[in-house]
Amino acid sequence: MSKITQKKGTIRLYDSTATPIYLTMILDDGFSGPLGIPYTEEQLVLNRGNMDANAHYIEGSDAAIMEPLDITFNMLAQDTVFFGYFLDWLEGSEVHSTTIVTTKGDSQRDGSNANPAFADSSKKCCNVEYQLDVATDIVWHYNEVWFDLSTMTISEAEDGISIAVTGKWYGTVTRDTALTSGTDVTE
Amino acid sequence: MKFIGKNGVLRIFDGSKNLHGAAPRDEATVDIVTFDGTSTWANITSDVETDDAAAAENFLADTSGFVFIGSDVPFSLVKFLKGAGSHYAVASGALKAFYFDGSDFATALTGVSDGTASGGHCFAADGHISFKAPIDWAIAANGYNANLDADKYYIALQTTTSPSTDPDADVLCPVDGQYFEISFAAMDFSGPLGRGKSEEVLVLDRGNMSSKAHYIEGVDGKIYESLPVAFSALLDDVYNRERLQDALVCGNADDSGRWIAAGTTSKALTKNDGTNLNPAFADATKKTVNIHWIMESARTAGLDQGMAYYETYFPPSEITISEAEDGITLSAAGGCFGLIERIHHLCNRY
Repeated sequence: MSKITQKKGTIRLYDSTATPIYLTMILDDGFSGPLGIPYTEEQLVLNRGNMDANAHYIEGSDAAIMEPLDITFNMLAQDTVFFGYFLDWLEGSEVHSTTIVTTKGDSQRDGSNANPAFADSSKKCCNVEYQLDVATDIVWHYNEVWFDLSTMTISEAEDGISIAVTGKWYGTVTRDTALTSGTDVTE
Repeated sequence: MKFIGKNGVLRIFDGSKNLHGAAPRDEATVDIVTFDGTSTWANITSDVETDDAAAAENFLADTSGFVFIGSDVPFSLVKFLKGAGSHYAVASGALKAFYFDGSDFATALTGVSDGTASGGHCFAADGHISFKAPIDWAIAANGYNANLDADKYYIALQTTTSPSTDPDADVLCPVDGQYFEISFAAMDFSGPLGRGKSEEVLVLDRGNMSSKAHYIEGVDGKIYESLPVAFSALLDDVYNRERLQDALVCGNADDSGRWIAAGTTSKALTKNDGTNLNPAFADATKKTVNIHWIMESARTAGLDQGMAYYETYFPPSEITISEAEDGITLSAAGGCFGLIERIHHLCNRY
């Protein structure tokens, strides 16, 4: 038995094409994301403020379920063609002459209704998959992640230029043992 | 493979539009050439590089003709002025714009905005043509045709319709702002990757997630929020001395080089929503500059990556000076009010 370190990690971005297009991150680290979706609030109702047999909970608005949560990781700026592809993907532009199809609306946060599309169709979501490469791989599939460029900072330092990548996660998360297969956009 | 601080270049541009080849942008040399589409090439540089009595007549006569505009310094803006010429174009159709990618002029420029258009026809009014300087823009166009120079970055312009009246040009030349390049930067630049978008507001039916749920777009305010940009540099007794402070407030950096006159504010030159020019400040004494930061590729030309922050205001109260045993540091914290976009060359697009 041994603990797993970030050396075993891989992050990929996927689009919604039937055979999904993906981009595997390079010189990335520090992934962080929640393990599940939020639930509705439990609101306690008391009888005139007294805890007694009439006390009960009511369920809050479903808005809590739909609230986006943060997914974050770090990226080093690179003197490579890949880095241009990465920035293109974040911007929702064509990547290596390939149109990226948004994944917004591909999953159901509440388990029964497809998540609604954005009002502003220029915002493109993607799926983020985080793999830990161990004896039996552990993979988390995060669906419908939108990268808001205004919340991502590029920071220069003498020994490297880093980008703090923050995505708003609107969809579902599933645990798996393999990354989704697809087409590598760099090829 | 990764970029490091040594790869960085940080410049402050003002919002002025100065001809390449003339002070303060006289480090650039231009070359403007016409081709009639058949066999005749003509160099019209001396007619169109300055606003004077000389003008190039009928520089685009039909749809097979080209005008090639080149400079040895990359550019994103071209000024057109009829001036001493006799005619604007009539019935010329929309502008077509291409660039040299190392092989030919087959690839169209992106982000083209034609300020010379009137009634849908190019070169029908004085104005500026702007475009996104391409990542794979190449020199050595003399390999394409010997009438072009080896050391220039060229674009090629065409009309979509053969004009009924051909245009004349007194000026048809790249322009750009004054700039000050920051020396002894502390390699600590930071800024956002892009501008914010409007909020998505979820509408639920009585708090229930159902097929009726949808998003509505929030107010446009978020698109116009000031976003933080910051860096610092060491003060020295020659390069940064007073010029850096002057450039930050868009004054007269007067470095006897690329910034020699009082700066022109860059406020209200970009469109955060893509349609409407951003508003000017209520207080006209507040002047903004453009910050261009690029990481120069050590591998191959064409892989430079950087960011441009247009309409950035540095409140004097947010520019601080800090003394230490080993140096005096000037730290600047500003707010970007304009467009934020990726760049591959250091030049103003707006």
